[in-house]
Amino acid sequence: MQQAPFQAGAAGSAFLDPTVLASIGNLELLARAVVDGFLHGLHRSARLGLSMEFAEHRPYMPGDDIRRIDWRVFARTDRFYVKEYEAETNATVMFLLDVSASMAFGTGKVTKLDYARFLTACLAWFSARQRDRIGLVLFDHEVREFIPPSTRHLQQILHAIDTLEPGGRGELAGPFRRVAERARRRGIVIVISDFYEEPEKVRDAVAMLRSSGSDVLTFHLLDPAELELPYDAAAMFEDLESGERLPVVPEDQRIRYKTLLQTHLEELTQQMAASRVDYAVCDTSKPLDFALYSYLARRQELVRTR
Amino acid sequence: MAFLVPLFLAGLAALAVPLLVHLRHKERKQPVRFPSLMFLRRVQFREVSRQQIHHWPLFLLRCLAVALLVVAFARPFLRERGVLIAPATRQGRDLVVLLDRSASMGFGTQWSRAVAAARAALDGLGGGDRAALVLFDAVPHVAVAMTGDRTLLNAGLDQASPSSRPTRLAPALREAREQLLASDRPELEVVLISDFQRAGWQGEVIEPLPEGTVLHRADVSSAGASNLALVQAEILHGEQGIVVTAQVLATGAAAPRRATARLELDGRAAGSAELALSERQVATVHFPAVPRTSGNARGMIRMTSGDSLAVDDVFHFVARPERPLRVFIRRRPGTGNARPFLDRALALSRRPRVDLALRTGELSAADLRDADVVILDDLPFPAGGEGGRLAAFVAGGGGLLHLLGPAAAGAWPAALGGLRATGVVERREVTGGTIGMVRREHPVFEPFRAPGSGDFAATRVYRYRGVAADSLEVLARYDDGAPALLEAPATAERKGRALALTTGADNVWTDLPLQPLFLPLMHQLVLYAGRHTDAEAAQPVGEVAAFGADRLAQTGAVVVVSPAGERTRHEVGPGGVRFSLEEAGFYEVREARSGGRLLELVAANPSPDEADLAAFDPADLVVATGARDSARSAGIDPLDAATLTAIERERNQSLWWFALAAVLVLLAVELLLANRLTGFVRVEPAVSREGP
Repeated sequence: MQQAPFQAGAAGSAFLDPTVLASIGNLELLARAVVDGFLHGLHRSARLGLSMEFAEHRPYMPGDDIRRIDWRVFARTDRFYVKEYEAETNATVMFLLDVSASMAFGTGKVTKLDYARFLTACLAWFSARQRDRIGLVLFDHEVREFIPPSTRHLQQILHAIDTLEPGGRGELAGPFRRVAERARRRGIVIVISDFYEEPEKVRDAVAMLRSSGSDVLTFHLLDPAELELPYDAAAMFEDLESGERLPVVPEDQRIRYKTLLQTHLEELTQQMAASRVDYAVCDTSKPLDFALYSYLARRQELVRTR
Repeated sequence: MAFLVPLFLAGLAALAVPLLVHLRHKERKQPVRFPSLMFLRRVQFREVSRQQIHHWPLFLLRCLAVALLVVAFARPFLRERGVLIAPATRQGRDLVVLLDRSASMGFGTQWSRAVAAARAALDGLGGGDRAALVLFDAVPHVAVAMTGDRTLLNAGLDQASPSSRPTRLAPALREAREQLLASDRPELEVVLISDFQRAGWQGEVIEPLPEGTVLHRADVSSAGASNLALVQAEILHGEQGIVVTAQVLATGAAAPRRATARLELDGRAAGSAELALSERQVATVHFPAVPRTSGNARGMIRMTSGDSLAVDDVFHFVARPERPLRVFIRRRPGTGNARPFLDRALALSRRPRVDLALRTGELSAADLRDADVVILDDLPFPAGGEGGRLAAFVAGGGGLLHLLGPAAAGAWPAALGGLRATGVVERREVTGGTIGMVRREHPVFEPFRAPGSGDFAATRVYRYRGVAADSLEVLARYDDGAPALLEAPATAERKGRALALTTGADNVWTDLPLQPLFLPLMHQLVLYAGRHTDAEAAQPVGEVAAFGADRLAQTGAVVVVSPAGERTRHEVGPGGVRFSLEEAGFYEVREARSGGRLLELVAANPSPDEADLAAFDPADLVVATGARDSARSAGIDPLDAATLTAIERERNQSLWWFALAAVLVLLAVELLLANRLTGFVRVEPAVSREGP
């Protein structure tokens, strides 16, 4: 994956903080602010060379990819010009958003579901800006809502994720199979989930998405409390999805818990890498830039390889 | 270091709180909602781990904070003056600690408070200071002479205990003065620790303390103290046997009004009596008569009063068998019943009872063998064999009282002093003469020593017999200087005493028999002549028990065994044996040999003065001693007894501030440490959805 130069601008990064985003009531406004700020922070022109149809030349500006310099024009004019293309795409971006009950967990102002909502909105806005076809699947142990890919479905998608409610038990295999069965062309599949399943099951489920030839990006959302188990008092812990209760003494179990979690994440990383699936762990207390950057890099690579 | 409120130290039990906290984890009642138990299920905790102490540093920190908090509330203070005060500019001072150890100090907690005050005073000594510890009751006792060795001083204090003696403040202050006069220090101080009993200070005039001496008063008296005390017991020998009566004194408004008194003789219960005090402060308890004893019996009266001074709830006495005084009166024939005044006066004697025998003929050897005293009533000293027997009788220890009336011309043998009756002197004044000079210090006049008693000047003497007796002592004279009463005292060769009254005992030459003093005077003359010592049933502690050599005859030395069992050997001198009664109980006088025979028994009891716990204003002492008052209250606060200024006292008590400050620091450290150990503060998961 190509590593684009990244310098977080102060103006843009402020919009990437989940706690700031939580105060923005409109998802579309949120997504636009985040994406514009994020892209501006990258010091790139707003229109990226993502299309194949030539539009015009323009003077080279610092930050432009030097591979896009038109050397013929340089030979004639002794000046650097880059080619601008008409923004046009036929990429299909499918968002698979886990809305199981476990996603409703959060220890700060933002739950994992909120974070997923922000992320989905931003990515959807970004994709729509690139004239990608975007679709949405909300799922827990089954597909709760399906919005087929289209260049005109941005508002539907934003409305769907704005009004979604956390569901019940989570499961990957069933919903993913349904999505794979309905996939007609290759594209980008973005999975946002907390992946509370065994790594092998996750791998098998994601493999079904890969079977259609799509590139799969997975965002593993974890709350800080899930990462650190910071509780100080012994208590009865209740599973948000199953309702099961378990006595827990955090200070006794913390170390082993973190070890198990770390092992789980490492196995997921290995399994995803083996399946050629991009996998990123997102701490919901951290800004969105990492997720956005991951997507952007993957999107560029996808376009370049077409 | 000590504590002003040591009761708060019980709060150290609160150390169990952090222990329980660390042994038992807090468990929330509300369940914690968590996304998935997928991993927690695999790391279930072990119950046994809950019984272990986690985070030892945190636990110890919390324990220390609790302990310091308790210590702060207990108000610690420093006894070491030098620790916080650092009297660098001070020169050494000399301190005399006067600690009252009289019997009344045993009331309630007075003694323990007094010792605490003395210890505070001693502990307040600076590096260059010295102190002397003087224990006092009726007499002062320098327990530890002036020294800077605190160990020695504290050891002396440790050995102190209340005595049974009465309180006398004046001798103690004199001793303090002596101690301070020998000092060369610029600062002189006296700490007087007492209950300031009213009976202990009679306003005596004492030499002022050295100039500049500061007098600190530590009043450990108990406000409103009330007491019920046995102050006296009397043994009467009646026809039914021995009748014991006891006097009970109630002092203080809250003194018990009812009590039960039990009598014991030689350790056996001999009766009991209920005591009910009405408005009177003194009551007499009568016990039923008990059979006479053949020898000396140890008697005890125990009273159950419920007051706080136990030492005067027991009264010791010695019940001795009755021993009457045998008196033979020798008269001229035909005058057997002509002296009603003398006979009736002697017959009325009860203590001791006098057995009178009248002889108008010669006294036989058998008569004299049984006699204690022979009275020659208006007749010359017998001549011939009777006179020789009588002289031998006196030489052997018998007593002679010669009433020199109209018919008593003649002379005593030289062995008796050679008294010669000259002629009859007639006082020609209309009012007659009087007895003008009386040696009241003589035992014969002992009943008349009290002021206002024994008005000998009221006696009218119209005639008396002139005598010439250079070797006799004149005990009383008429107003014209002629001898009225003479004595041939006992000597080494003459063990008995011979007395001569030169005006007779009838109302012919004098109106002496009509005077109130006649009866006690005759009693006393007979008792003195007969060398009768009325062994008292009990004596107050502090007095001297004396036994004449005649009573300890045949023994060269005796051993006195104190109530505590301490044995002291005494040589029997010409004056007999004398020893001081130091404690309540029975003193035994035994032969000074192994298993020696019991010769005498003495019962000692606390002075009745100690029964009255009323206190006087100790400020009077400041005036009397000329000392500077410490201007501190005379409370029971040990620091008030110490020689600290107000600022020093406050500084010494300010430790609790440091303790509280240390608690705050510890709590801050505990907060940081707790956060560090647990990693995070408590997190409340927010599972509700808050849409953007």
